[in-house]
Amino acid sequence: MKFRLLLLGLFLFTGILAVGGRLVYLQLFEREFLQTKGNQLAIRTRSIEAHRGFIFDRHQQVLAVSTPVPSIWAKPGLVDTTSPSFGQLALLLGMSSDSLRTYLERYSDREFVYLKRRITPDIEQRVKALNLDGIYSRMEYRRYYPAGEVTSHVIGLTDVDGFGQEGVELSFDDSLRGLNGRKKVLRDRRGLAVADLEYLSDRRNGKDLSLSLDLRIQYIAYRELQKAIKEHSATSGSIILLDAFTGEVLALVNQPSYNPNMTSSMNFVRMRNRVLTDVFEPGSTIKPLVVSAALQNTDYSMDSLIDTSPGFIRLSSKIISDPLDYGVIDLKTLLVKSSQVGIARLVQNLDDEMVFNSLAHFGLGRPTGIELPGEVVGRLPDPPYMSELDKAALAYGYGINVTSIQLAQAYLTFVNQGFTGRISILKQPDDHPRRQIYPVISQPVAEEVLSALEQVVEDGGTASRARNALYRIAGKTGTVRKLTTSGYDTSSHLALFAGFVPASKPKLLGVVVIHHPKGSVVSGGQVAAPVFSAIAHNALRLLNVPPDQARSL
Amino acid sequence: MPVFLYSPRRLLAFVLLLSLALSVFFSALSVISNVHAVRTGYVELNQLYEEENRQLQQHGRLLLERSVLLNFYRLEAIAAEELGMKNPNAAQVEVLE
Repeated sequence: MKFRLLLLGLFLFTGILAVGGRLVYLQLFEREFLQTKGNQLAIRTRSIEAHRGFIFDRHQQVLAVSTPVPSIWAKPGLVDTTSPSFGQLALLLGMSSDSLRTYLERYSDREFVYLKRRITPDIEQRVKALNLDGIYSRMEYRRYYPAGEVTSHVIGLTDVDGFGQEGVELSFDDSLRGLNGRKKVLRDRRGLAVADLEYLSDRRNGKDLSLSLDLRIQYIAYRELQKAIKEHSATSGSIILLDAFTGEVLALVNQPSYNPNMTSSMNFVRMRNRVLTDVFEPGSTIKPLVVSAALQNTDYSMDSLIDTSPGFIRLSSKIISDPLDYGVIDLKTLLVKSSQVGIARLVQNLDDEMVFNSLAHFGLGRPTGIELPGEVVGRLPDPPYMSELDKAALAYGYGINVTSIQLAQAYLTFVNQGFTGRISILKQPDDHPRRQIYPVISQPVAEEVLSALEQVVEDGGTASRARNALYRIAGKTGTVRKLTTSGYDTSSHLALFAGFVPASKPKLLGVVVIHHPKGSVVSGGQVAAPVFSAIAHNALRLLNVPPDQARSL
Repeated sequence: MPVFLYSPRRLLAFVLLLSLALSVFFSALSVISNVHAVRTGYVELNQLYEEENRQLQQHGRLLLERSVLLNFYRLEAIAAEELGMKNPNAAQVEVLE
């Protein structure tokens, strides 16, 4: 009897010892390992989503906004695909039950798959109401562009994960993008967070961005461009409007365009920001640059005479001709009439290097440095390889490639006291002084050329159709035959206008490019210049610029 | 007076010990109140984050709504159709100096 009692006591004691020993062992020696394992199961790091900065125009009109919208995600392992409400789920998500089931089975080893991103709150509520295991929703930011296709080439867009893809969304991605914060959360068996444990890092919301665009003028420019393209059955076109004092971009539009809110309207042809990416031969719009180079660097003055008789000249195998014989004309008339013979004669007397350097100083052949992606540099021909014909062609804008924005920058010189300006898409402070990078021509030369350009828009000038009832316009037209693989196409044109308004004290600088206008009128003076005039008429009123040509009390 | 405090050195040791014990006690209390403050602060921070999110959402929605209402084409249509406004032509414009 005593022996059995002793045996039982021993047995119990050993048991207690074993349990106690195991306890001590686990607590003292295995603690770290077990704790880690447990934490791995229950503690998760979650990101706290930061929101992307908004984009505004110069008057705080919103151009891009992020608002949170729900997305549906799943833990495939937990979803019961045989449940009756599974079919309803598939229906709500716009899929067939079979394809949803296959999708979930394919990713059954995953912890997280998106089922449908960016849905309406209404659908989210109905999905939640189904109360299915393993189906969750989370908030994600979606980007909205209220001005849609009107601003799309400037603003660009973001991809589904919120990274900038085009436009300022791309070039200012770093500052627009917020930095997600991280926190530790405790989760239950089903993987739902039950408690926040601690913040690991704070989130940092993206910075807002104020652009120099004036949305009202952008709308006006977009509409006028659309109208002109329709009227002349043109294929494409673009307009850039600058503040003539600060060099800020007030409007930048292209046709065709796309709606950044609808991914289906996108393709490369529509998405290209033609103002920056498409090069063309500037044609007669280059003449003011050549003339001002002559005024600046040689003895020529605006009154210097050039004999354009008999209305054509022969250079090697090619005949360059004017529509009629202008006779002996001064440089001013040369610009007003846009005489090909005149500019060819003038440039024959100019030094190759000088012409080349002046055009380069005007900014042709190099990027303007605007804060938008994708700018191309165009091409300036090399002086050592220029023949007499090449040189003459260069003077009337052939054999050289420029972008609209380069042309705008070159023309900015005429209203920037002869200095190169700085084109910017960002809003500059109100008291911002004008940017004068380096001198290209003297101020008197700039003013002389500007006053000659004013006469281009008078009766007898090439842009008389751009005459505006309220504001005097100064500018230069260009009509360029497009280069095709089989030489210059006589039926395919490019209509150009570059100019200023009001001529007395320029406020707006614009470059209008219309590709391939068809019909009876195809010239820059007939197609592009009236667009600028129409924009000026509406935009200057909004900018509180008093009319030049109204009756005065 | 208890016997063990008769010597001045012992008295000093006792006072020191007592003050240390008290400071441990009070620091323990303040740890409790600090932990509590951290917890309530944490809860409050979470609420504020939610509030901020809510306000940001609302702000974004209102901005969108404003931009729809201020749409240039819409305003122009209202001016022309409902209010019967027109752009003045050159003869109708007079500049006041």
